[in-house]
Amino acid sequence: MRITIKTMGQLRGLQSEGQSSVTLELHPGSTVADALRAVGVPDNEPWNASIAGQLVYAEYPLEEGDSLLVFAPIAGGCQSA
Amino acid sequence: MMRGFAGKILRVDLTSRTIQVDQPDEEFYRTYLGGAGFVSYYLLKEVPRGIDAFDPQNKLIFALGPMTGLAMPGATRNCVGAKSPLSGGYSKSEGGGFFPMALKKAGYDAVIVEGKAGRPVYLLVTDQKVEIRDAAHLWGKTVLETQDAIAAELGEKTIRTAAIGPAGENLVRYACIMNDLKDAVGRGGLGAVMGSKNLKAVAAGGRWNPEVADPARIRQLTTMMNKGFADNPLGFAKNLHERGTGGAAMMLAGNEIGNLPSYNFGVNYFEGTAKVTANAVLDTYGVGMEACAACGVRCKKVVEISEPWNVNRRSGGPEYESLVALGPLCGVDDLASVTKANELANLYGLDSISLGVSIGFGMECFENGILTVRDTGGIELKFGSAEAMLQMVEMITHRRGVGDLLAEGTKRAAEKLERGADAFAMHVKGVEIPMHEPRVKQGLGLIYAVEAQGADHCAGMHDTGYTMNSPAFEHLRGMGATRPLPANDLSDEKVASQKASHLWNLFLDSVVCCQFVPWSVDELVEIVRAATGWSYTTYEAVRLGERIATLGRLFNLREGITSTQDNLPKRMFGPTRAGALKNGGIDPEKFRHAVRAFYAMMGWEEETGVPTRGKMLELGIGWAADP
Repeated sequence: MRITIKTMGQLRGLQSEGQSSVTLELHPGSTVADALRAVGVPDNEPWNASIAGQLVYAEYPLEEGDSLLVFAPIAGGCQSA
Repeated sequence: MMRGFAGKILRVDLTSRTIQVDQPDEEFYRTYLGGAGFVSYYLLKEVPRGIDAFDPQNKLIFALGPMTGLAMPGATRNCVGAKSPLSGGYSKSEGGGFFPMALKKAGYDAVIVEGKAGRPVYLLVTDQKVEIRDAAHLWGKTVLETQDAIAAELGEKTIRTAAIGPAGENLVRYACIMNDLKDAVGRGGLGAVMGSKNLKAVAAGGRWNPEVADPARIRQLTTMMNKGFADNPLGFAKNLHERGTGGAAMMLAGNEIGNLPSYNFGVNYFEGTAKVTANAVLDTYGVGMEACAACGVRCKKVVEISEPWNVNRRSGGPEYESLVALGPLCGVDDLASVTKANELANLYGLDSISLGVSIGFGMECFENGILTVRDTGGIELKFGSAEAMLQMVEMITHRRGVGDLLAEGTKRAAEKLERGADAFAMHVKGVEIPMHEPRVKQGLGLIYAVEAQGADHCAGMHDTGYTMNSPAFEHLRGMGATRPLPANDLSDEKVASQKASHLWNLFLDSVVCCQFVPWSVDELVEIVRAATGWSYTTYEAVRLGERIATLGRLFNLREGITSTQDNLPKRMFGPTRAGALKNGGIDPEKFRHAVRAFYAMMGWEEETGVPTRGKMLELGIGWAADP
């Protein structure tokens, strides 16, 4: 299945500043954690992610066409990254 | 001789113009530590039951801790407390800058002010003398004018001030106290209490230095933090160093998930967010970053504007709370106006959170016909109007027209307006909700509801930052956090983690240490040990947090604030009109369960939230059972 990962800001592993987007081909049944592993985010790297505005977590099952937004965890008025 | 402290607490009665120095024993210091601990003790012990917050018998307490005065990152901070004119209950707030260090160098651990001066005065506190001085010539002046006038009058470079502006003089119920020019002791209306006492400022300074038990370890920890904060595993100080709070990525991501309070918490999606981020501020008006005393993190924006109006670089740039409260919350995306409103809040001495939420409340009342142009003097008080927002800042400060109503805060304003206005009043216990959405960070929403001082974003764990195993979460495990959980989780395990975070924050507020410097639990406990020479432990830090929270609750119960006020506005239990939360809202059943679980974990009665006798005895505050 095909999904899109959009990053916002800086997240170790994704090596991006600002916004960037990548489209991925994943096995059916893949989770958010699988997708982030596939693009090189280290397992010990904390993140927040959302699909259509709803926060999702590591074991959330992705579906064809999902657009995943990933960003450094929001911790108060700043981010931990 | 005690180490880490001056061993002296200054008492000033402005009515009788008497000055006295207390010297509590070391057991008192170890039990209450400083800052929030001192404030909680003195408020419950000494403020008479049932008085009005503006009664001269109210006490205004400026409290320092064992870390204050040391040349360490995050160490220049004080806690101030009084009975709040917003909530009618317990209130404390913290601020940074240079004033707290100056007060410690005057040789005091706290200043307790009571009574009311017959005419405006300011208090001079140095290591040589304490004086109540005339301030008639300062009344009506801004914080900047006041600081400059006092500096010129005294001609002493070590002097720093904590002052109120016209808002405090005019008893705006959310007036703040400004440390120096840009560090607000912001929440709860403590500046109005100061104004009610005719106390314009406290000017402090000196050359006294606290003796510490292990100066080498203090130096070692200081060097470690100043050199290593950017790579610190707790991992947020690098962002703060670069742009302070309110970074674009954080605000834009927050916008996507409904965490950016917009249109008075009615929508939580704001089209103009990119225009009012910290990045936009620095790119457009930034002239640098600066720090509180002795701090390498340097998280404070310096801004300057000459057109369309002047913003003085000495007045400080907007933090996240101000950017959102005066921007998206009011539907305003004009960066110059938001930056100007932030400057005015600093000059006039207004809490920018309660200010923005009160204006947003007024805008929603206007759009729903509860307020009209007849009430506003012809002003179209609509969401999105930067002009109206700025006009309200002036009118609130000087209590002109509808500003007199909005200066009362949202709870009282809604009660006066009636006609359903309470649905638009976004407060807990009368204290306006900060710019972190409790429908997204639901555990923080619990803390907003149950803490003694009303909604405070510095009192609990921001759930979105603790959803995965990380150094940040590992750190909180040291205070009793359970395991990472989703942001909207309200299970017993989440409640336990929020309790742990709440106690950690109360410990920080007693040390008194800044949350923006990433000291770990172990490091901060070690700082207390190195400063005082005590074999202080994390267990004592946890107990201290429980002691402070319990004293705050007992104060509120005594004043008639019961568990019925441990709640959030009705709006938080339903969806927003659009945005990510359009299908969202806190489950009221889960929320009530979480409130009861919190009470139980704190050793309070599960149904009523009344602290049990056993808990009070365990915490060494049996005296508080019948204060």
